[in-house]
Amino acid sequence: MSDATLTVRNLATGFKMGGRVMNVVREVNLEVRKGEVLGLIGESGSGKTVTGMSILRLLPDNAVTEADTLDFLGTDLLSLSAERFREMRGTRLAMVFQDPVGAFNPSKKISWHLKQVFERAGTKSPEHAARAKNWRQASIKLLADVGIPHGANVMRQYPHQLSGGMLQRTLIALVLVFEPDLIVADEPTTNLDNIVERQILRLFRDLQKRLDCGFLYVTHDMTIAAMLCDRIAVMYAGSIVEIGPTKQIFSDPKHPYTQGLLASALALDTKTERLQEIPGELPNPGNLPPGCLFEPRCKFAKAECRAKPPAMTDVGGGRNVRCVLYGHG
Amino acid sequence: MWEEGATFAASCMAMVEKAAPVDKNTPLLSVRDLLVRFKLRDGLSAALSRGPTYLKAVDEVSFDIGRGEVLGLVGESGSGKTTIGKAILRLYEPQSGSIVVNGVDITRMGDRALKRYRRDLQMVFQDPLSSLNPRHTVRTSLRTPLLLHKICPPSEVEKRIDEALTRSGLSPVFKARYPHELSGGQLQRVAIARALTMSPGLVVADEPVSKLDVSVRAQILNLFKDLQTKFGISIIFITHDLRVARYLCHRIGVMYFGKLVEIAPVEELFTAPKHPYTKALLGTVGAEGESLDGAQVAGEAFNPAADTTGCRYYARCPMRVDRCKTAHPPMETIKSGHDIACYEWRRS
Ligand SMILES: Nc1ncnc2c1ncn2[C@@H]1O[C@H](COP(=O)(O)OP(=O)(O)OP(=O)(O)O)[C@@H](O)[C@H]1O
Ligand SMILES: Nc1ncnc2c1ncn2[C@@H]1O[C@H](COP(=O)(O)OP(=O)(O)OP(=O)(O)O)[C@@H](O)[C@H]1O
Ligand code: SF4
Ligand SMILES: [Mg+2]
Ligand SMILES: [Mg+2]
Repeated sequence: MSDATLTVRNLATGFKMGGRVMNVVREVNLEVRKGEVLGLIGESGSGKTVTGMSILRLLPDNAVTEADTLDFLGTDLLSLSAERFREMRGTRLAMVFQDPVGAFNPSKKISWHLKQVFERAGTKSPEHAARAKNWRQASIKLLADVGIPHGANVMRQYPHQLSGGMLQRTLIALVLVFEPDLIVADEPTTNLDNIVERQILRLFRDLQKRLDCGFLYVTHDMTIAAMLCDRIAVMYAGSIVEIGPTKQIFSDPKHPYTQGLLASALALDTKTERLQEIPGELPNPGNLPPGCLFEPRCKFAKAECRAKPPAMTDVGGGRNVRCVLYGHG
Repeated sequence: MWEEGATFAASCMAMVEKAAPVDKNTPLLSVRDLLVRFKLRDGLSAALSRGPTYLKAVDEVSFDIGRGEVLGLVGESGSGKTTIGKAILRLYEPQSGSIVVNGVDITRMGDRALKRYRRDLQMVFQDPLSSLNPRHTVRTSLRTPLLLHKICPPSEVEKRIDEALTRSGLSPVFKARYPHELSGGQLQRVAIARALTMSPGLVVADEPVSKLDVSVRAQILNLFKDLQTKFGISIIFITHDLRVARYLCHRIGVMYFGKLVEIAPVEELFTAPKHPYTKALLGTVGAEGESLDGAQVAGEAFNPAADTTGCRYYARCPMRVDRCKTAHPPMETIKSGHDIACYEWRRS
């Protein structure tokens, strides 16, 4: 038996637009082990959200997803019926969305959302069922856990009446009700101040330790990535360009994109007049280069890089890099 | 376009200025005792409950913004930062207080003047998705205000949009997309581009870089810096990222549950914070080798529904004394440009 919670092999997703399919994510391979936090960082628009949504079948109808393997704790997610998948998503798999507003029904109060979720989670186990009976008290306690002390009031409000961060925390509370085996968390703390953010991260840590819950954790915050993630995958223009243990990625980034990203991140820690950007134009999804996607911006680029897309290369120590500088494996 | 835009913005400001001529040293914007409240309950539940019926989202807040100044607003999530921004845009009607721009109190402005004012003031909303019409392409969303306010000749609209998108770090190919076809960070850049095409004199930017990777974020922050230094645009910059605030802002205001608790020049705030909440907030930033286990707990927070009379920070404050229970401390100037609301600041 492997200790993997989630195994993704060769995932590709595109969108049908104006008669053709535009590929936005390709050749994604990753594994989230039991109780592990796998960080997903990288370029804005590189496909982090689409990757998460593809795994959870949450994309709109015009999306086309293919994969060789999508395994969740021994269940083949690819062959699951729509109905079984929905059951799974409500109880054992969960997503904290990047856009909290879109996750709520605007015409229903917060209490309605909590009640729904408790009822759903109630089917999981007798303990969950017992808690579902007392869902009001349990909700107030849960809201307090995510840093909302006046939960009883908040439950009477509509989603648009909460601040950005309060809505984000309410969404996290909804996910915590399930105690799922895997959480895809898409920038779950962007709207939160540092103090509350740390509090939420500790709740995640608790789920991870207590229930062996695995996380696919999308973030732009390098401090959080370094603090929370066991391993990290870096995405650029639809592909994972580097994956490996957090410490090694931060201390010795291999891929030129990862190097540029970490240099930009560090710039804010030192006092500077002007922040460092990665030079060059951002990738244009309608017109991608034939070889390495980072080639037009890469200071190490050579003829070889333009010939064909480089393959993932195992560089040892659990690390893989998609770049010709590190050989062809 | 930006040069031209800036002169245009200046002429807009001039129109407002005609109403009441002011000298260049007076602040561009003065907020005084601003109070914005929301109803928590109606009808029967209001009659039956013992708690208050209203929530003071912004509770008697005062501050100024100079011309060409970048003022940061940081603080607790839910403390009223967005509400201040929306009140300045007059999307919310304040219960009391004034918002004076170039000598004109905009809380009393009529519809026509308001339209002109709103053209010169742009907000980048915290949630870009709900600020864009889902049925409109990016192109339409950016074109409409340009044409409506006659910002530039119709023949130049397209060029202006392309330029604003490019400067915001997004290829113009995204013009044909609908909002739901964009990533979070791409939407955020559309929202920034839309605000900037209008050549505003004042921008309220609510978490404008929170969804961007660090490289694109650097590009946007540099853009904001250029707009401020070259064209003297004033910016209210709301953020949870304290390092971003330190990079960009001249002064920073710290909010806690509806109250402004401290406001100071940026370096002074970071090197010599006085309010215990500011200290707690700064204590979480940039610590080398920071780990979750050592992180502090938010602890018992102020409960806005329980109508406390004392200092909002009382329940959590390590420095509290009995006096703090009586009333929320008034704002006090402890040094030029450095104001604080805490009875015990001398001890810190
Ligand atoms: N429904 C859709 N139709 C067409 N294209 C889409 C759709 N949703 C996303 N895309 C495109 O797919 C690409 C990947 O988007 P995704 O949301 O996964 O990016 P991301 O890595 O999460 O970025 P961010 O950090 O900005 O959130 C983007 O270029 C985006 O424009
Ligand atoms: N339209 C509304 N109706 C009722 N209450 C509201 C409304 N808008 C905001 N509030 C309340 O006002 C308070 C302040 O909200 P605001 O959005 O200004 O906070 P914020 O400081 O921007 O927080 P965040 O950092 O989480 O975005 C919150 O308690 C919120 O629930
Ligand atoms: S493969 Fe070549 S172009 Fe791509 S990142 Fe590596 S060196 Fe740069
Ligand atoms: Mg995303
Ligand atoms: Mg806000």
